Amino acid sequence: MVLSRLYALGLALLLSMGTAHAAPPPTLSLSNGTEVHLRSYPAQGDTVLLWFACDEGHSIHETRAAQALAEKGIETWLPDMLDAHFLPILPSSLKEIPPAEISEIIGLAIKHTGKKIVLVVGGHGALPILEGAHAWQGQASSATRPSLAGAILFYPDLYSVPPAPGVEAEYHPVVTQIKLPMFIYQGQLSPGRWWLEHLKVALSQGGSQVQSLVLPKVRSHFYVRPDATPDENAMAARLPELMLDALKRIEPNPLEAQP
Amino acid sequence: MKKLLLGLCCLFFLASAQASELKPWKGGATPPLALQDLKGKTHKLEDYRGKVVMVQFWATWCPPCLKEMPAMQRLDQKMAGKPFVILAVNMGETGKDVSDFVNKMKINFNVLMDEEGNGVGAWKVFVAPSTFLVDPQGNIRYTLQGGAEWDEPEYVKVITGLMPAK
Repeated sequence: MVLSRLYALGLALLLSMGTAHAAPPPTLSLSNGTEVHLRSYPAQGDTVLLWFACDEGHSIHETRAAQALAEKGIETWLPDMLDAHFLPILPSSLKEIPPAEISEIIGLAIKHTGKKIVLVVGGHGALPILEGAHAWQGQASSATRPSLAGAILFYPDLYSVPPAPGVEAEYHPVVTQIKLPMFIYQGQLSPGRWWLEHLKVALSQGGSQVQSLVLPKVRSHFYVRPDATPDENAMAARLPELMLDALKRIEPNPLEAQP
Repeated sequence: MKKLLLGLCCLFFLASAQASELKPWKGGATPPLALQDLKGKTHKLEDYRGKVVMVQFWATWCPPCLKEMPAMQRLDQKMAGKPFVILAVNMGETGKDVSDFVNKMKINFNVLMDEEGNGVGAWKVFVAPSTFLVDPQGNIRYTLQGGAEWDEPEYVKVITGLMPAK
């Protein structure tokens, strides 16, 4: 009896050693020498949200969302890219993030956790993050590539140059090149609302399956705005729910899995 | 926190700096515009041939739009009796929201409703506010993205310069 219990205990220990991963590091050391501070909210589930925020941890809503998601088994990593590059804490600073670093961080997150990775970003950050994701896909083996499972984009700005009034806007080439399941949240109170279908058509040219939802009564950057309205604060409090809904939608269809 | 405040200040100044430049139009033909005002009257752009038309796309949720509204009101008053008209196109809000705002701000110029975004699409508007200056022949001559103090002499001079010679 004692021996069988010891055997069971030993087997459980061995199994847990085989599946468990070390706690996420506090800093990601990149090959170019960049040190990226990482806030992480570990969880037992098989998904990591790799969330590129713009506020260096000042946002109550992002932190609360990460904590709430961890309780539901979704792990979140918040790498502080702006601090790593001494960029001002602005949504527009996200466009300065080197895509090569995003690519490397995706690889590190997969290697460290063994879980599937879903990218999360808003506004101007969408472009370097998709460029980084596209670059990572290009160098990943076919066995590893499905580990990058998708992206959740809030009010993405994917123009190659800021669009001028009256002139046809041009998307960055990565928009029509990347193949990645995506879910887009677009604020109703934004001109981007009227261009959402246009963007989805462009993204689908590369084979991406793109779904979207217009969020009522909120502007772009609603969860980081210093002048947020009560409606925007209420929507920001729903971030965990929005993330979970988006994750369900970008789950790969087994009949139509993307390579 | 200091870094955050510095960033927000930079954002404000960048927005202000970008806000003031009229750019000569290098695009194609003027898109059609036919929208109803708050009383249900349809305004077509071609109805205003012979006048300089300021077509501005705005929304009540857009801080720079709200900031420039008083200046537009002053411009409209300054141009009284001259061949000039403002068509301020609201982007997708309800009649009640817009009506409440117009009454609160005591706006007298034409406010048109674009509830389905047809004008936004046809005029290729990506940022609020976006403004087009249309000459008396119906051709777009200048655009401006962002807010502006429209009654400042630099803008008045450009607008007056587009008016037909007496």
